[in-house]
Amino acid sequence: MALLSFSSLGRALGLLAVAFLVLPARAPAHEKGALRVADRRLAPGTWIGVTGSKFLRGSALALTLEGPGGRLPLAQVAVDAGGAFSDSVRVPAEARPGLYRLVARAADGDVVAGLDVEVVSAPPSSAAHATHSAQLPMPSAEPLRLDRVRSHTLTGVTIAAIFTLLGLGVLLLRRSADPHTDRS
Amino acid sequence: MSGVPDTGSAIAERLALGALEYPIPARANRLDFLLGALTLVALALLAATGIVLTQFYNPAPLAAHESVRYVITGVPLVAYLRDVHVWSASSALVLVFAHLVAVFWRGGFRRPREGLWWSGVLLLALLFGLAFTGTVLRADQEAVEALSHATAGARFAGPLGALLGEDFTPSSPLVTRLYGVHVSVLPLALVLLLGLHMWLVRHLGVSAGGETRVPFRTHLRPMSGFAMLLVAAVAALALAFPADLLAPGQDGFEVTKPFWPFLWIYAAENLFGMTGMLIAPGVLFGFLALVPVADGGHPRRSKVTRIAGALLLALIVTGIVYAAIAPGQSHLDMPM
Repeated sequence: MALLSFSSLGRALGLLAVAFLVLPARAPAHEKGALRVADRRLAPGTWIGVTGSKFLRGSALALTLEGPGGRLPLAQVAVDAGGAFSDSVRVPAEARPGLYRLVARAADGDVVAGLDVEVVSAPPSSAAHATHSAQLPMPSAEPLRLDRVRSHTLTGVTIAAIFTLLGLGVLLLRRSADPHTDRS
Repeated sequence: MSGVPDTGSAIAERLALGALEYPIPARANRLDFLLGALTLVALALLAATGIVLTQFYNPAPLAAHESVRYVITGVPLVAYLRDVHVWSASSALVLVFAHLVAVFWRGGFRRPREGLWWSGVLLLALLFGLAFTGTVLRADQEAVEALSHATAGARFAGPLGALLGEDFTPSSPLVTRLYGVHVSVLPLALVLLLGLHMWLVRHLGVSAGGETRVPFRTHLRPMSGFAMLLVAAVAALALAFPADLLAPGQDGFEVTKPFWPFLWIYAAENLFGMTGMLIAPGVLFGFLALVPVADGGHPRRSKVTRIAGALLLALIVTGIVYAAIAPGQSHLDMPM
């Protein structure tokens, strides 16, 4: 009986696997684009520059700000022949502070790009604004060269712990390999 | 004086350590039977270091990268624990895969151990889930690209992928939700499944043959020995090769390759486009789920299952090596 039930289970799982592989692929309706803003901290009532690339050429997009305050419309933009757009949009004055997502939707409502942003209560200070407004570098696979903090004490203690563990580990393994130890 | 038990016996009695005296095959003290226990050690390291990291990590999308950067540049001990966390994740995946291969090769999935095998397969899937959500939390370029792949896959999966969809809820960003999944949902599921897995090991026994029996207590010595070597290796790797952090991620670009355990999926994407992202894990986990049924204990079917398993393993290893050396490729624009 057990074998019979497993064989039925096997057939069911096999059918599921085949269905998974042969089901027609549902292609997303639109290509995934990229949105960029100079400063991802937005103040209500201010104007921000938004650029986009890698969108469907000649398509129309609706830009919205979506978050705890609901879905706030920003602008309708037209994508050019290169699949890009550039526009200035006003952050709605009624946008409550918090984390939002700047979203680009195609004409049928599908989300084609998104970007996490934060609505802050006050406009960024000029110094901070200058920092955030700097041109974003192109994405890279290169790790950041961070100035890691080092602690000689921590490194010393860690190295000592590593050697202690190695010694204890080898000792335990040698003792467990001894056939006269603890066989009952 | 003879009526007074010594301190060791008194403690053993009160902690019920006599329960560790049950017999196991002597062969079970070999390394290939200890891989599961060593995976558990790596998971314990992940849990311990992860608990510390939660105190320093900020899961808000615009603060996540900065919080990781702060730890690396400002808090030496926590930065080191983060490195240990990353290397423990790699170790856990290597060990669990080695454990799976060893159990597969000796037929440890056969009756009555099918449940043990399937719980192990689910544990492997959970580990991949933890590795994926952990990658995303860094909020660097690799993280954003991993998330873009997942959301593209979620669109493909329809309602099943709703949790990863852009429209699921506007009240909480996706990275924040995945943080919750990484530190609560997946670990809880992992603990429950591990409990089931170990309960089955205890009551069904390990699939080691041989007549010689030894008490389980003797198992603890080699297990502890290898565990110490593992912790020492992870600690040394973390010290010598600290975990990287890329620049803050930007949506819509694909310039990185994934965390190495996902490279075989990346290779499938190179060949089949975004569909490869679903086909490759589907084939692996579909095969693993079917192993006990396909084998069925028949010599001929066992041989075929073994050959298929060996081929799949070779394919995965080849895929990882190929993806590691192949030039980077963009998949998000490829058709499904």
